Amino acid sequence: MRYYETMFIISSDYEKDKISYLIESVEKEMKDNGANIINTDDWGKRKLAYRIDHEKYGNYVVIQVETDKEDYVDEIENWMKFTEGILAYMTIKLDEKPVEKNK
Amino acid sequence: MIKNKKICKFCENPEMKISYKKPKTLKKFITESGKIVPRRTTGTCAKHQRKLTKAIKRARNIALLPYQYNVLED
Repeated sequence: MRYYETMFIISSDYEKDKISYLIESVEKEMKDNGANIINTDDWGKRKLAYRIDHEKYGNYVVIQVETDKEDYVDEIENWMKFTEGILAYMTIKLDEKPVEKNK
Repeated sequence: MIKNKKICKFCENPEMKISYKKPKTLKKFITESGKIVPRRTTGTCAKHQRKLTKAIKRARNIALLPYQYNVLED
């Protein structure tokens, strides 16, 4: 089993409903790619350290997953690249299994 | 000249963890212009400096930390 953590930024123009809808569609895409979601963490609106696509603010979201699929990262990053509303994304590999948070 | 030996902050308190998701902690280890401070100045040990560097670079990538401060706006 491999553990990954994806952080992505949603455009600040998006309203709450649209943001939660986008997060859901990201989760769905991850599940379709054979990943099991462990944690989803919404950081909310933050100021960006530098402008991305002329935007100063963005909503940060962190999703931790476990998967067996080899090309999971390629697939998910490729999908994010062509998804509207996602300003930036980054996937990193975790050394250990992340602790599950109960909400 | 006798210098005070600096002690690595992360070795001193193990509860302080290095992560790209904590830009507040990482901010202490970059200069005013945004460069990574060398460990001869901060006293961080080699092991933790490696982790710091990686974390800072990751944070820059996702706009949690700037690549460069004091860039003229517009």
